[in-house]
This record gives sequence, structure tokens and C-alpha cells, in this order.
Amino acid sequence: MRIALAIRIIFLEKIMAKILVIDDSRTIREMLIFSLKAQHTVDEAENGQIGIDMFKRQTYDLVITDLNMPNIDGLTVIREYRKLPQYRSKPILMLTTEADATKKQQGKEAGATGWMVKPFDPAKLIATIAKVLG
Amino acid sequence: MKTHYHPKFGIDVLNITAGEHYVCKNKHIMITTILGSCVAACAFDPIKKIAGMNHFMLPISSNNNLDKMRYGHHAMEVLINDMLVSGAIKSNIVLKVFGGANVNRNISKNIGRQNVEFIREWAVKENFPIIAEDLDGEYARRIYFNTLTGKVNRLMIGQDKANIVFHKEETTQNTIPQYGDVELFD
Repeated sequence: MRIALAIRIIFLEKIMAKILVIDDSRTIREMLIFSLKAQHTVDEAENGQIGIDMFKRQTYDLVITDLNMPNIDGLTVIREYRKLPQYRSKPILMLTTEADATKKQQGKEAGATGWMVKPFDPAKLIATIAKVLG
Repeated sequence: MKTHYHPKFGIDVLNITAGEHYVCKNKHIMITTILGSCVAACAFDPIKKIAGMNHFMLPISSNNNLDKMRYGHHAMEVLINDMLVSGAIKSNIVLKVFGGANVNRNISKNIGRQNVEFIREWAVKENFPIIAEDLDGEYARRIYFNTLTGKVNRLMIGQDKANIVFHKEETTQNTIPQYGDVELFD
């Protein structure tokens, strides 16, 4: 009985989600995957266009995108994400070095669920993801 | 950030210290900094004439690799992001890197060497060519980065002044920014 309860608690605590990380920095992608892989399935895209192609081809529970990337920026990624019916109510988070209020407002207007400023705290990241997925 | 006229170069000079960075476009100044164990990266887009320099040091106290990446990578990412926001093309950007000396025995774990290893590995991983470097060694350095030509002048600093530089680096470490905030929208 106790074992069954323990398994149930572990299962409930472990929110497995399919997450796409879009960032032109390989280091950031690696840090995100390292922080999230214990709890989630994480795919990565090295630029905005590849990210858009990936979330059009398959469905993700959450997308985390950088803002400043070559060619297609994070705001465009969010707008493209929100155009798709399957993502109208799904979360998308911005993870960027920018903390400027104007930029945050642009992110909000584009359809971002939230704004996280780098460098990110892995514990805070995990808690934020649990909140937006819940 | 304030500039002052430098008679030797005949142009304005802007000084940055540990934890700071500066980026400019089509501006002819010298960005300068003084380095002991710290490393400075001079980033330059020669086509768009956009230049930037940072000055960073990995945490001495931590053995955690994520911590080290947080400090070093963040310093580099902020610099590169400001270059991109100013109009630089990522594939145009080249780096010149300086510093990482190991003089002061009081600084544990060979922090200069760790800074050098970090910047070399980071540049390879992120695909930025290092076209010039003056790293490691036993002496502190002052560098002047010409923001219009991309040229860097390097001066070696004697042991007497070097100890002051190393001491200053140790005491300024705590000013490095901590984790960023999270805001969820309604």
C-alpha cells in the first residue's frame, strides 16, 4: 500500500512535458536541456526559423525562446506560434538577457506567457514551467 | 559611461571595469580595461563597424560548472546580444581575447587559467573565431581597443602594479549580477 502511494506521489510530481528550446547559443541550449531533462523531453532549435518549422511539424506542450537571434527574432517566433490553432492556449516563454519594460510589453503583446531574464536560475525555471503547464 | 581625451591616441578613451561591457557603432574611440586574472573579449564586426568589449571573471568560490557557465557565458551573451541589437551580423563577428594571468598565489584554483580555458571553449562552441589573443602568463595587462579599426594595443604591467590589479579583481567579484527575474503575464 505504501509502495503504491509512493509511486503515485512520484508520478504526480513528475510532470512530463514535451518542450522545445529555441536559442542561437549552443551553451544556453545545453544548460536548458541539462536543467530540464530529468523531468521533461526537450528538443532544441538553433534559430527562429528551425524552431518555427519544428513546432509546425510536431506539437509541443511548451516553447522557450530567446529574443535576439539572427534573422528571425523571438517576437516573430511568438507571433508565428500564436497563429497556429493548436498553440492558442499553450504556453510560450521568452528567455533573454533583456530586462527592459518596453521589450517585455512587446513580448506580452506578441502573446508570450511570461518573460525570464538570463542568467536563469534552474530551480526558478523548473517552478515556472510547472506553473505554466499546470 | 564617461570618456576622456587621450593625447597619445588623439581620440577619446572609455574605461570599463570587471562586470561591465560597452558596444558602439561607427564610433571612433578606444575602449580600455586593465586585466589580471580576468579576461576581456573584444568583439568586432568589420563590415558593419560595430565593436564591443567586456571584462569578466569566473567565480573563484564555486566548483559548480553551471555557476561557471552562468558567469562567463552570461558576460559573453550580453556582449554579443548588444552587438546584434546594434546591427552586427553574427557570422561577421570576430574576437580578440586578452588576460587570464596567474600571478597572485592568493587567488585559489588557478582562476586565470580557468578564465582562459573558458573563453577558448566558449568561442569554439559558439562558432566565433578568435583572430588574436594574448592570454595566460604572469603579468597584468592594459588593453586599448580601437572601435573603428578593430585593432588592439596591449601594454604589459609590472609586478608592483599587477598586485593592485589582482586585489581589485578579487574585491569586485561580488558585483557580478545574480540570477534574472521571472514575470508571468496575465
